[in-house]
Amino acid sequence: MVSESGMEQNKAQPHQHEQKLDAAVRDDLTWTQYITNLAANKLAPPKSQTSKVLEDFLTRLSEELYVKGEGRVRERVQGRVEASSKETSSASPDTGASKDRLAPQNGLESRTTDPSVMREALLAQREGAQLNVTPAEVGKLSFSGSQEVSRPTAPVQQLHGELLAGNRWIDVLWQFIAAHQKRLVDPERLGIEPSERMDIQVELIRQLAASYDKLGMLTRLPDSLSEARELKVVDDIRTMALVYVTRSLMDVASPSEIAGDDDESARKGERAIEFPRSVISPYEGIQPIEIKPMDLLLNV
Amino acid sequence: MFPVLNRYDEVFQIEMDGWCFGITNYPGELSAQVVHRIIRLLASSFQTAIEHNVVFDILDLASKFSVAARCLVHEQEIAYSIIAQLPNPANLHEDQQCVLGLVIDKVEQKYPGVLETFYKRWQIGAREAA
Repeated sequence: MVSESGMEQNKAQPHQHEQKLDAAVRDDLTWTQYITNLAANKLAPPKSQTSKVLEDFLTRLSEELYVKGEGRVRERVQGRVEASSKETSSASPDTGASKDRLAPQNGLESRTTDPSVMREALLAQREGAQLNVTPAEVGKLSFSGSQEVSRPTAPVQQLHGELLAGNRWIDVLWQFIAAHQKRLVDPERLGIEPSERMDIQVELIRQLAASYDKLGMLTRLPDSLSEARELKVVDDIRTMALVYVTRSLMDVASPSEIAGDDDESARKGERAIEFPRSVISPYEGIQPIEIKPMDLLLNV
Repeated sequence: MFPVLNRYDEVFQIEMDGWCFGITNYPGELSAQVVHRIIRLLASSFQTAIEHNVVFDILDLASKFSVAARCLVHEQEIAYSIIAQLPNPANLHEDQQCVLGLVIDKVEQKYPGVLETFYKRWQIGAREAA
């Protein structure tokens, strides 16, 4: 009876595990919240080196999340599988015992706070590999059998596509930056003019984009920011156009033209540019007082 | 030929030169989107020019913008973009429609099919407005 109940438990555990795994895969919001909190904790203290910290964080985050080509995570998983298979073969020839030892801590239920482990677990499970994580081996992965790792080939392509959907993470991070931008760079505290704030935002995001671009994840700025940048460029160009139009309409010589006018134009025989002189007499309209010398003498 | 009203041709010329001056002397990085955005901004200027009977040369204007933008956008693309900003003939008077026809005719001679393309577009716009 005891053995039968144990077998039932063993049968029920994979089913429960699959349910939990599906829930974990579907529950993207939990992961999003985790990343957001992680970013908030990491980014809040050093305000002076915001960009550097943010870039380092994003690089590290990208390394954890991003799988390119055949997949670095998959390689790491395979490496660990080989190592674990060697260990199991050398330490205990009875692989069934090791399976029993690892089975109760199956899957994502025992996932740690390390996001890479969580992600690897998800990915490995999507590949169809049987993943076991023991509490003693926090952050390490081991598989019950190496033949199960090489089983799926088609899902790897799907996996690659799903991970390239890291654009979602860019959106998450962008929202995070927009929400915490005041904490990262406080323009008001630094006395930055509103017109210059956009430059800082653009620079910050360009750094982000550059860090992602290195990883091949992002080739352009977010649409909203790209439009803001375009508007600023157009505004600058409009200012210069207005300068041109104003000068054309007023027909005013530039300072350099005025400065160089005395020598060159005199040599060329051209008329020098002069400041306008009023042709209207300031005394116009005032009748001169006629003083007769005789009256003057009589008054004396 | 229709007489130009209020010497608007000079104003239009200065304005376009001003924008080309701004684009040429902009120290930062330009993009095709910026050029097209500027042309969209000039829609009201094009309309005013036509309303003042100014037959401006779109090809010359497109060439100027293209050179100012360091040949980032081809002049044909700019010419089409400018035509796209022209007012719908259905909303213009008869004289203004003639001016618009003269303006587009120069482009049609160089790039045949332009008028047909935009005629369909204007018809759709007129239908939607109705």
